[in-house]
Amino acid sequence: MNSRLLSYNIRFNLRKKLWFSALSFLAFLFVLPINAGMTMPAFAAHRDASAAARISEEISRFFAPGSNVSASIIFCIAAFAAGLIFFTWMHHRSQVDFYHSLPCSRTRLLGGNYLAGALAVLLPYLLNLLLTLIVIAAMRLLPLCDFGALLAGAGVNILLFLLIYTLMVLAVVLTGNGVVSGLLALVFLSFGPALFQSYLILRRQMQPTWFSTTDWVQLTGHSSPVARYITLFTSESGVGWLEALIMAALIALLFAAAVLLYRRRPSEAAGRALAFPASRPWIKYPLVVLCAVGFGIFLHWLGDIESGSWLWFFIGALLGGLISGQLMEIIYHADFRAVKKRLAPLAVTMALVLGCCGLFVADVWGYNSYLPQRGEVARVELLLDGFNSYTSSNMVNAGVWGDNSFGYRELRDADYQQLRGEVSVSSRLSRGQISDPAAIEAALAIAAKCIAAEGEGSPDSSEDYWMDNYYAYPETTAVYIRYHLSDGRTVTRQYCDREILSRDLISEMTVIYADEQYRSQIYQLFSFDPQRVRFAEAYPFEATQLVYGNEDLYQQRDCSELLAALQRELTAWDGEMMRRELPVGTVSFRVYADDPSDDPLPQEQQSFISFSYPVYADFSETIAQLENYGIEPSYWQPDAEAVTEAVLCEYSREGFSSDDLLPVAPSGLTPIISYNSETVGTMAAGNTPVTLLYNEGRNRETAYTDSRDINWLMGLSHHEGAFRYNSFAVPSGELQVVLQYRNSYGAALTANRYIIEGTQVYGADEE
Amino acid sequence: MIESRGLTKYFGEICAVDHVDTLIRPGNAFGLLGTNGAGKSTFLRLLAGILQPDQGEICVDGQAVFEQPQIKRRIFYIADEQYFFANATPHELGAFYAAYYPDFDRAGYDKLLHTFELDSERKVMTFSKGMKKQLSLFAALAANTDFLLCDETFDGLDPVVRQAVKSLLADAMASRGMTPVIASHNLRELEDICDHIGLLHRGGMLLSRDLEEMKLGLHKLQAVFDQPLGEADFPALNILSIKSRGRLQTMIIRGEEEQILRQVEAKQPLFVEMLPLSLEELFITETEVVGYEFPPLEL
Repeated sequence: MNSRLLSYNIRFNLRKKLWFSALSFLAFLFVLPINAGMTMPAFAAHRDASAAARISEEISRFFAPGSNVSASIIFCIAAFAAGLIFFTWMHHRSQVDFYHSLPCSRTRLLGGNYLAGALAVLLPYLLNLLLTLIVIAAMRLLPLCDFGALLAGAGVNILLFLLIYTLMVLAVVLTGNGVVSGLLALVFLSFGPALFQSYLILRRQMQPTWFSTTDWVQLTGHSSPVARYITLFTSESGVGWLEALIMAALIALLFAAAVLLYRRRPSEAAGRALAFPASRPWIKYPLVVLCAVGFGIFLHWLGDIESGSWLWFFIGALLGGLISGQLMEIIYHADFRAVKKRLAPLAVTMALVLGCCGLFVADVWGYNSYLPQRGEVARVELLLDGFNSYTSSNMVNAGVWGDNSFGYRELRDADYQQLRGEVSVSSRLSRGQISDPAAIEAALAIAAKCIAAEGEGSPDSSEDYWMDNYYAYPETTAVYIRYHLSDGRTVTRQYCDREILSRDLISEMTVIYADEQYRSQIYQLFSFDPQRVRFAEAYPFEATQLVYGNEDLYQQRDCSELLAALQRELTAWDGEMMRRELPVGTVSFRVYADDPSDDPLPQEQQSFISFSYPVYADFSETIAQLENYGIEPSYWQPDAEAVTEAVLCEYSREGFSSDDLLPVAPSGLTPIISYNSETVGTMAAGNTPVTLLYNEGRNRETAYTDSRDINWLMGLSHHEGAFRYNSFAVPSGELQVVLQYRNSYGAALTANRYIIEGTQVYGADEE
Repeated sequence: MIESRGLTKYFGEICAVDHVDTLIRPGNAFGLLGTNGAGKSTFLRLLAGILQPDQGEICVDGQAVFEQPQIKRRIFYIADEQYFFANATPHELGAFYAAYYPDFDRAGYDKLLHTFELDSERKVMTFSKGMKKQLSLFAALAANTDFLLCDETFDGLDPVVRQAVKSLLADAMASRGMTPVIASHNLRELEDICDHIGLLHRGGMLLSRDLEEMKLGLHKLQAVFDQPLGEADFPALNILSIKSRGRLQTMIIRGEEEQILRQVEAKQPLFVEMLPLSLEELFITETEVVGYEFPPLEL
């Protein structure tokens, strides 16, 4: 009797809502078989064996939740609608009386409606899947169909649909009218992501030294089925078996909760805002807190544009809490006059929220100024992202599939994620191991300087932080430090929100680079399997600019010998050496994802990440290896013959860039004979005193055309790119050399060179 | 048998049913009277297992009703605000109820529809209010349940149909011992059908008695005296109300008939007569005793 009744209930409800099933069928018809009919012919046109694997993959992606966006959107909407349509009877007294008077347990009543609602969407979906397979078969692509992937994709779609649907049902059971049900369902679907993101933003604002290795995007994505759909759209990571099982368990749990609540749900709740008055504070106050924090963050962000002030946060939090709290009272009572109700508990809540936030803003616990005692520290991990950051060459390529004839752009996102993870801040931080006592002292000194630093720093800490300016000397750096304490605890801090000048850390970094353990690990490239390193390009600064005009020299060979040579020579180069010399060029390597031989894409279309490491004049092994690549040793040396004019000039550090660095001189200044008697001596040619003259609209400068002067200036100065790869040598903030030259094509070009700070500028002896 | 003990139901701060004790014997037609907002519908909904009591219990043959499908199979409830699912026809409704009530008589149902000229394929939403009530009653009778709960079901029926339905109810009571529980303001109807009356007022049961027994205890008397007399002139009598029209006085008195006549005749009335007391008069009198009356209004 019971199963018969349940079955009847399901059939009855499906019959009564047949229009909904018909709509679902139509919707899926367009996004599945019709869509397949429009896109699959492009696959069918490629019949060669090499394309088979890719076609199979593309067909699987068609059914995957992360790829067929339209189907996913339909599932979300259908779940929301089914929850309302199949359970809206709970909101009307006459219907409640009708159904509750029937000789049927509430469990079966709910179960029958639940199953009917699910089937009303899933049956049309499955039918359309079948039609899609028929379309694929008609194009003779069926043998290329990976049925396992297809079933997995369909399964994930069904699970996510059921999750949203069950949450919707729960919302309907907890409420008494359709509007509030819809609102509560939206709360269920968005509360998790909003909570995580608010926490993340607030914590980053209040505790800017907080460092997290948590993948907040993934975490946010797992906090709501809709958010999970979105993360599936944006990444190819997919849903594993464990996650699928958890989803299924969650669906069962939520359904059980819905049944339990429904059995206790008073019939007289129909028409009320909430079915269980006791649930009101549990729904209201978390929302109030979230809205308060959210609005506070919003106003704080707006305020920062002008002057930056936490006052805006507190104003926003207060307004957000008040508005959201009283809005909920109005919705609950369905009466605008309810805006005056329950102000006292709201005031208490807001006082607690603002009080807690105030404590964090004031940093009463000293979180942001944390510095362990020397005796507490067993070892340290240190990363200065911006100081000798060779990994900042962030060339991650997204491979493109062929000529786009399939209509899809292959992002190879899984490789991209893997590579980004391998060069993430946390990965690089773990490579900066320091256990030498002197180096630990130096690391602590760096931390102390960071804590004391003021000003506005580089963008907020994130795994995505990259240096954008390829040629510029990175004046500021972000510091990450992890303390491994003697008591077993690990404390990590980062300093990205304040201005930390690289030049201020040179003495400490010199000590740290003296530690061989640190040097042997800090260069990340050498930790990769050489098989994954398959591409190298050399960039001699002088030759490229003067001879080849910014052309890179590409070679594509086995890089293992070159890698080994560079590793030996670079690892031997300590801080003291780097303070004295600048590199003469760079070598760039491309690291590809695992199992490159399994990648069906051609190499040039695969994802990679690039590392550029400096080559110093004394790197004889490396330079000899590069000679095998056709890079002549002479390329590393400056060639003064091509230079027609060298201009020694003053410049402003604020205008430091690879472009014309001469800002407009302030008016009213008069020319002087010598700029600075301590740094500028007499010139060799004719003992002409250095005269920095004003060029109208430019700073003080003197031009030299004599080849000896040019040679001297070129020897004195360095290619601007060299400073990018050596943070120990700081360019002079006062003088610059600008070369006018012609490249091998005869084009007239300008090159900027800089003098190491503290270098004595003397004239050459006349010979 | 239906029994309630201390049955109480609150809607927020409003006590709709307040510690109601009652006993409804099988085979007796139970009429549920009450003032507006007395709790009649709430009582029936508690009995139908729609609402869960906050205190006390309501049982059918000793078993609670709420969330007990096997008990609810013995009860058919017709609400005052009826619901029919969208685009339903009487035929579909019959199939629907047949799925839930195992003893549902499809043939009997169809016969009723035919007899009362209700088109079984016409959409119920096109029926009049009275036709919808008829439909519900036919479904209820066809369900062959032990108990039939009607919440103001007879209102809206035309006199002919009403008579026919009364006889159907009587047949069902006689043949299979069905027990109807009827809530209504139509006291005339209840007087015809019901054996037992329960009078609710402000959530509480004022009285619950056999109708005849109720009438036995309360008497309506008309008398003419030389001078109009008041309650003080009859200290031995429990006079519930006295109304005067000229020298003709109508009294409603609680007590034994003989004693009442003796006391009245002792005052040497010019005329005295005992009159039958209607249910309506009984209702009004009993509720006036507890203060449920409205003074004459001047607009």
